[in-house]
Amino acid sequence: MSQVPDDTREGLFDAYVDGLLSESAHREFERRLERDVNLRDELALQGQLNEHLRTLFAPPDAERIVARFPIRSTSGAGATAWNKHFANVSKGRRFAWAAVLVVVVGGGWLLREWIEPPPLWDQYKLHTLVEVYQHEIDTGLNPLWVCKNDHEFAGTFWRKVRQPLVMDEAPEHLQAIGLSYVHALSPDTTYLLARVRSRPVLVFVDRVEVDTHPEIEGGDLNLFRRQVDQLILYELTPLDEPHVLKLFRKPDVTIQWLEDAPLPTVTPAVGP
Amino acid sequence: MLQSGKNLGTAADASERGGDRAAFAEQFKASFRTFWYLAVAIVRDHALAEDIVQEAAIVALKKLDQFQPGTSFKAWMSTMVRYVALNHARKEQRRRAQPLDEQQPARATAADAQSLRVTPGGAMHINRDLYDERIVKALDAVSDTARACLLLRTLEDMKYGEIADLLGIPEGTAMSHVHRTRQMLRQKLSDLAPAGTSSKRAEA
Repeated sequence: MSQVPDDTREGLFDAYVDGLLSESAHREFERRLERDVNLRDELALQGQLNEHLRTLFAPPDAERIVARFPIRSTSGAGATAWNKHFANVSKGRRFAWAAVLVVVVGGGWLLREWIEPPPLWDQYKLHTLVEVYQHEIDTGLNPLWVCKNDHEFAGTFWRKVRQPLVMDEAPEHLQAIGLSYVHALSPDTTYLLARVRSRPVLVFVDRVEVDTHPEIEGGDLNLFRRQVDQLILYELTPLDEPHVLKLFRKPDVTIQWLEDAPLPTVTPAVGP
Repeated sequence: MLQSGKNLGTAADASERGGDRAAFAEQFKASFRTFWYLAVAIVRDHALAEDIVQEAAIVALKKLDQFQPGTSFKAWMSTMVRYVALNHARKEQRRRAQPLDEQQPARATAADAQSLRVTPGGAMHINRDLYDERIVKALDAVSDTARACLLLRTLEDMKYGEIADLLGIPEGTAMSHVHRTRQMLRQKLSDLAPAGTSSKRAEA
């Protein structure tokens, strides 16, 4: 139900700004505007405020957000496109397709007996650090973001964990691949994917207050911990000593610099 | 309940396409500004609001099968955005409520101590312009809902009934939020009035 504007000065003013006055009330208000300089000023001020609001809260490009949607999915576009395609083919061809499907699905089932596929990955579900490591091994170390420079790198950590980090130049045997995030210590746990002497290594970063002091028992992996100001870093590695932790440091930069940081490149995600 | 109409994507559009991601992206883009204003009204930080909207979209994509045909995609997605944003704001509030000594790192180095002090997501770092800062400061004093009402009405030209539906509040409340917030801004920024005018109101 529409609200009827009240007939006080402020009520009429807002109704005018909102375009809610009747035609006659609108004409009357404009006549009043001609006579009343204070009212005119107030209207001009409102217009200026609106302009400032427009600049202050200018939305970013929607395309940029859409480009960051994850591609990995268990349903959706693929299935829909498949269904639409299937609806258009003839009965005979459907039978042929069905036969192919039986072979493919049956073959797939047999294959599954030999190779157990990794479980469906849900980055928003709570995972242990070892689970994340295993997932990355299964999917071939596939980062969500690749940073071109320190600015993007520091800005990404700023946005996720509210403190910037940069990495000193890596020695030759260390290759930094990219960044991702996962629900591990918190929903914002951000991690670096790297290879050290060709072995996969992950460094998890989160705020100290969410640190759960995770431990790993047995297995071939080692966990090393380091704190950098308000951040806690865990290096999960098959090697006997940490190689990446010591490269991280907090840069001496301004908040404005961080807020101006360009977004990193989003990689096309793959995997289950 | 929101009805389908101009600028309002409906569930039918998305569900007919069976949760197709391309259709989702299309609907998302059509109403993106609304999602953005809702997020930034709550978290008050541009970069964070962007992350919130993205995260809400990912949650929505995962829950696409729960989308009810015949309902508004915009309203459904807005609920996700508000949920994710409020969740984040609550977490941030709890974190800031911790005693300072609990927030200090146990083994902070001297180098760490020299480094940047950051303001958690509560502060708006949108524009350094003086007036803009004053507007931001003034808006800090009103509720999330009032900020959302103002932004949706002023910048998205949304009708009060639509705002009310989106935020789950009475239409009169939406209108009252907008009017009061506008009035408060005019009082606090009266010296912003165009030069040469006669009414310079005292700052409240």
